[in-house]
Formats: sequence, structure tokens, C-alpha cells
Amino acid sequence: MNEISEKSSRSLENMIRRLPDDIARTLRMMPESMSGSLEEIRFRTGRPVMVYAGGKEYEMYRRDHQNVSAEEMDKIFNLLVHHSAYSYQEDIRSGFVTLDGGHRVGICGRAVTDGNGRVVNIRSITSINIRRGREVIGISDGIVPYLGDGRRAVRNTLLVSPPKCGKTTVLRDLIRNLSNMGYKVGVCDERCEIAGSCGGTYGFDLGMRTDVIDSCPKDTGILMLLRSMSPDVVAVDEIGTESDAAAVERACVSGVSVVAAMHGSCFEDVIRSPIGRFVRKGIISRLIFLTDRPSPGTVQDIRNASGMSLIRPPEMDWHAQEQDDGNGGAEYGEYERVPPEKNRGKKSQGAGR
Amino acid sequence: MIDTLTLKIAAAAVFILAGTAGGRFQAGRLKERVKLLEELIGGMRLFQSEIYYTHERLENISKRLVISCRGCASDLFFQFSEELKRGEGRDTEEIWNSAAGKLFQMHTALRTPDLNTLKTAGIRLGRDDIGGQCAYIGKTAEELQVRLQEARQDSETRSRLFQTLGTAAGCAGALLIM
Repeated sequence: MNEISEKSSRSLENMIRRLPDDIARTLRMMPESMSGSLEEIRFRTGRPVMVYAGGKEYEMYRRDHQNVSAEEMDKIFNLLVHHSAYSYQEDIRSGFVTLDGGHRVGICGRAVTDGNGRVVNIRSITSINIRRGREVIGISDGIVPYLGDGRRAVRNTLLVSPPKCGKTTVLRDLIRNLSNMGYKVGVCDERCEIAGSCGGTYGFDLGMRTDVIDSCPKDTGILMLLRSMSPDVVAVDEIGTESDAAAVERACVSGVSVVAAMHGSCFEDVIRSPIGRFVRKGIISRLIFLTDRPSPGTVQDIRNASGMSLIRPPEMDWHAQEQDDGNGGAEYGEYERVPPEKNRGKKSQGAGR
Repeated sequence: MIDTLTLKIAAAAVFILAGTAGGRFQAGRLKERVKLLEELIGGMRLFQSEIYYTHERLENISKRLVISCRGCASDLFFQFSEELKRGEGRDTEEIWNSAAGKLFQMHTALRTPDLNTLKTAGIRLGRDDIGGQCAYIGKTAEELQVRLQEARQDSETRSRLFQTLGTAAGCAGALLIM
């Protein structure tokens, strides 16, 4: 087992051990090919546990019972927050909690609001989605040559893709690459996902010249980094609001390069967003489009500010081979592949045996 | 040769001493209960403050409370912190109850209602926001305060009774022997 996969499986074990014993036991029985490509574990009250790996959906078979009960959901949440929900209060308000190692836990339930309609808590949790934070060293190696502007600076760059296509994984590795190339990188990690920081240490390798401010709103965090850490590059995940755009503008006019990730699936999505005006003005001059086919983190296209593709599709597939196990979704012991059409139009409870 | 009278006097003395010691032991347990409950209430107040001001995880807070609490409260948080360390896959309430049960075995002067009151703190432990958590621990501390008042009354009224009864029982035994 190489160092990366060892680190990855350690991080996965850290996530699994926070779950109730019977679920953890079943997850540990996953074949390596499946655990290696594990993306999400989803719990829904009254429904079976679903596992997403390698772009496929599996239903977990449990010996005692099939569906997740309300009590069990409460226990799962309690365990995930280290028996201390109060200590994650700010995160819970935003609908997610970040675990050690950068795994993000999305939660749904009954929102408790204050007099101003602001969510102050989420109670009676009904859905939990654990998204695995992954570190794939070298995944951004093919992108780096496109970011140079001929001088020493890095071009302002946007990583664009729909959810679950590996934006954060690519951004994390890009930060590591730029940092190790000699750039001082300031990372504003609002959801503690990029660095996977916990207790003052980073769960992921972000390079030797990287400074991270985490749990801080992006607009404030970017300004704090500019004022205090004099970065060459500011990296930020999931931008898209007007306030994010204002902070990006501030960084750009300060002579600092911005590398950011945002949701979207095509060039037009970017142009229509609040960030679009920077692309139209040519301030952001590299747009990297990612896809999950054949695996998350695959580069679909690299475009310049005018929307012109800089690469041709066959040449861009640097990451394509990595996680295709060729299994095609066959049964994996305790797991059975759920075909996409299953449950569509089906009203009954989860597909238990 | 030791004559019968000497033996009887010695046995009577033993009876009186044993009776007095037994009475004092029972009275001592009542006083010990008061002390233990005072320590537990102090511990719960510190627990509340730690959560309110630090917002840290129970694991870290309980480790700190082992040092900052007195007597049985320190034992409680030591047990809790150890159980948390081992308790992967177990619910907080289960872990808290197990720690409280171990404390109950260590300090026998505590009574079942005290244990039950202490266990109520585990019901919402780690499940609420800061305000709810502090309020719930405060509620347990208040309930322990009620137990403390009972224990004080018990100690005042019954400790003298136990001492007198113990000595009287010893004397009665001595008289019977004589």
C-alpha cells in the first residue's frame, strides 16, 4: 500500500469509526476497490443506508434491520459530532458539520429559527450525508501549465463543475502544487474542507507555503488574508455570491491571484453568475471545467476568458483511468448496486430485502 | 488463668465499642453523602461553565474537569473521560450512565435516588445547543441540590440517632453478657 492510499484509508477509518458499531462493521467489509472510490454515505430516517462509490449507488444490507430508525439517526448524529452538538453549533446552523480529515456531513431536519427568521439550530435530524474528503496527490499536475501568465504570476482561475465532480479535491492539489512551486498561498476555508483542519493541524497536504484561515466567511477571510499574510495567491472554495465577488475583486485589484472553485456546468453558467463580470472583463482568464466521468476530478475543458477551449477533449483525460475498476457495478458482498432507474416513481419504503 | 468475670468484662467492652463504632460508621455515611453531593453539585456547576465559555468537546472538557473538580466529581469526570475514549459507537447517554454507575460503586454512601438524578444529566448531554445544554446541566445541579437538602436533614436527625443506637445496642449486649 503506498503512502497516499495508506493516508486515505486512515482518513476513511477515522470517518467510519465515528459510526455505530454495526454500520461501521459493514462499511469495513467493503472491498478495497469500492472503499477506494467511496464518495458518500447517506442515512435517511425510515430508509436503508445508501453508499455511493465510483459514481454508483449501493444499498447497504444490515443483518439486524434494514432501515435507519429515528433513534438510530439521533445516535449517528451524536457520534459524528463527538457527543458534543453544542460545539458544532455554528456549523449546524449552516446545515453541515466538518469531521476530522475534512469529511463533510450534511444534515437535514427541523430548522429552529429565531425572531428574525435566522436558523439557529437543526433538530430532529432526518437525513445525514457524509461526503468523503479525498486527497489525490498529482490530480492537478496537468492543469498547472495552463495557469502561468508568462511572468511569475498565476492567472486568476476558476474551477467549475456541478457538485461531486472533484472541485475541492482538484483545488486542494492545485494549492499544494502552487505552494511547492514557490507561491505563498492563502486559503480561505470556510467549511474546513480544503485543509481538513482539526485541533490546529491540517488533515491534508497543502504545501509548505500555505496559510489557512478556516471557519471564516469567504468575503471576510479573503480580506483578512490580504491584510495579514501578503499572499501571492488566494484560494477559495465554492464562491458565487455578490459578497464573494466583491472579495475576489478586492484581491484582484491588490495584485493577488485568485484560484477559486464554483458550481456550474458550462461557460454560460459562469457568465450568468456574479463572478461572470470578471470573466467578461478578462480578469479571470482560466476556467477549468471538471466532470465526474469517468471519475471525479477529470478535466473536461480548459477555456480562456473569451470562452475559447485551450485543449482538445482526447488530450485532457489525465485522470480518467485512475478509479475505473472495470467491475461495472456487480454485487460487492454486503452491497448491491442500485440501478439509477430503481425507486423512480416508486412510492414504497427503501428497497429492503 | 483468666477468670470468667474478666472475660465477661472484656466481651462487654468489645460489645460497647463495636456498637459505638457501628453507630458512628452509619452516621459517618450520612455525613459522607452530604460531602459527596456537595462535590457533585460543584462539579456540575463547573461542567456548565466549561461548556458555556469554551464550547469545546465533552472529551476535552471532561479531561480538564478531572483536574479542576474535587473528590467524587473528579472521579465522575475521570470515568466519563475514560468511557468517552473507549466509547466509540456508543451513545453519550450510555457513556454517562456507565460513568455514573462506576462512581456509585466507588462511593457507596451515595444512594439510588442520587444516582438516578445524576443519570438525568446524560439524557440530553451533547445533543443540545449551548443554551439548552447549560440549562439541562443546571437542572441536574438543582435536582442534586434537593438531594443535598434531604441528605443534610438526614444527617442532622439520623446521625445522632445512629450513634446513640449503636452505643445503646453495645451496652445492651454488654448487659446481657454480664
